[in-house]
Amino acid sequence: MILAAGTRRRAGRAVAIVGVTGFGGLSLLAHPALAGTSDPRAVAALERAATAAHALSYVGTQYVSSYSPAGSHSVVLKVRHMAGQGSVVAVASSSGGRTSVYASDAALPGVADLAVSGLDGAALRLLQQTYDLQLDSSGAYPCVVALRQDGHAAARFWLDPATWLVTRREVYGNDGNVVRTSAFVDLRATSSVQLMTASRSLVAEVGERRLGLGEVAGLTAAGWIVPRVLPGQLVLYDVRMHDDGSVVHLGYSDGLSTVSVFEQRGRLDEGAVAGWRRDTVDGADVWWDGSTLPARVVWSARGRVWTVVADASAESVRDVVSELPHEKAPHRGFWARIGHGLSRLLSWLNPFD
Amino acid sequence: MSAHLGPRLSAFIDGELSHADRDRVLAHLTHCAECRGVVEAERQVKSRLSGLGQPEPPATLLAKLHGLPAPTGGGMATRPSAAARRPDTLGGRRRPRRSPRPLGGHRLRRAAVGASAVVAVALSAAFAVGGADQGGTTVRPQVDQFTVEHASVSGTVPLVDPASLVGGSTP
Repeated sequence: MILAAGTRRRAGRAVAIVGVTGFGGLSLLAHPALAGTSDPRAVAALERAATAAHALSYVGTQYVSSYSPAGSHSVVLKVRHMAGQGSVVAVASSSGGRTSVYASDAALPGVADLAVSGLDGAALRLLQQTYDLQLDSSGAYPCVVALRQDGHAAARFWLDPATWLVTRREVYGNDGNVVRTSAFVDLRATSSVQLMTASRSLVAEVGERRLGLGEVAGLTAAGWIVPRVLPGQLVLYDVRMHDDGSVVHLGYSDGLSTVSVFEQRGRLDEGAVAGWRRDTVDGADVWWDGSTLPARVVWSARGRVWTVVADASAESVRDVVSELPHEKAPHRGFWARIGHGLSRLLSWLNPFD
Repeated sequence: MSAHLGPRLSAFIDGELSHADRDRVLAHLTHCAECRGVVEAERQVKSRLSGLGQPEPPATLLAKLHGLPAPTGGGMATRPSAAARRPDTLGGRRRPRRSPRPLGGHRLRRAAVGASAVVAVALSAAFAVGGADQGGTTVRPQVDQFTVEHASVSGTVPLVDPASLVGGSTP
């Protein structure tokens, strides 16, 4: 729903731009077997949809639901987008409160630069190279199907033939069940939208600077752990660092789902995840926050605190979390802790230690 | 001139003579320089010996005494009897060594309580420091901030849900 002014300016020639965008390494990391197998009409339809989402002004009500073995979670969103300005997305919480977020198409840090370099086009190309995109025109609305290598559907996009906006989106798990769906229950394109005041500005809150993928080697040399690919063909497409250098933010996507991995040095203060669900991955503790639509998982390993924020199925998130480093909590248990403590005390008393 | 006083000088020095005998010794000392020398020498020796103070028993001996087992009868007296206080030798013949007397029950209990307290303090300290050092600085990840930053990144991917932009964080 947000993208850059650069995209707006080039709305009429988006297809041409997509073809020339550079995104270092993506072509090497995407699934080679599916590259070039997509229906060009399906690719063109998605490109038009992505462009329309920023080039048009519209107002709509959208619901988003996610499903997992642990249960389902849904929110209703009021979406208002003004071409040339930005979006305000308001979500009503179950407690009756409302949070609205404003994001500017032009001023969102990094986005303008990314648009100039054609990130959205590159991300579309990532979707195209990860999945086999086919167009299904048999229904009342054109539908683009993203097929996995095994031929099963990974996602479906239904497009409004008048505006080319995506009116409904479904993402499927490996078992074929819907794991996430979103749909506009009403959608109206208009020439002008009065953006309501947002309670929070996404622009003001972000204090990161974007690094190029070419700086990954430097990060690795400095001790940061930067996987290029995560399970589910999630490819590293964005690298950022907090202004104070304390946190590295790695963005992964397959074109359908987005996963952010935040890495910072230190050991987790478990008070920060009080009330979260404790789970075990490879014998190590991780904490899940299942109360929000982006799944959030936090744990400690290898002298770092890892935070995963993901718009993906629970199964995919678990696969991602399992792929990242884990280690069992040291000195677990009473006697182990006593033994460690005695060892430390003796070391303090030993003048030769 | 009378003869020298000999052993009576030692009794004089130790204050064991009667008034009459002491006066006679003092009268002799006024004109006998040899006996005055003997008295003077013995007084110096006595003075030095008294300045040494009471000798302390070795610490190992005390530890061994504290470690004696308690009496089987559960008695309460721990003071050694008069016979036990007598020296080991009597009339040049070595007394047979008495078997060690066990300590009383209350002292044992006191020792047990003390030992338990020491162990409890040591375990508490070990437990406290045993979980404190796992390396690295404690970190409270700013998950809500991260969620917003995730939204800014996912917003760059076309066709994601607007919910990604919201970040799912509701007050």
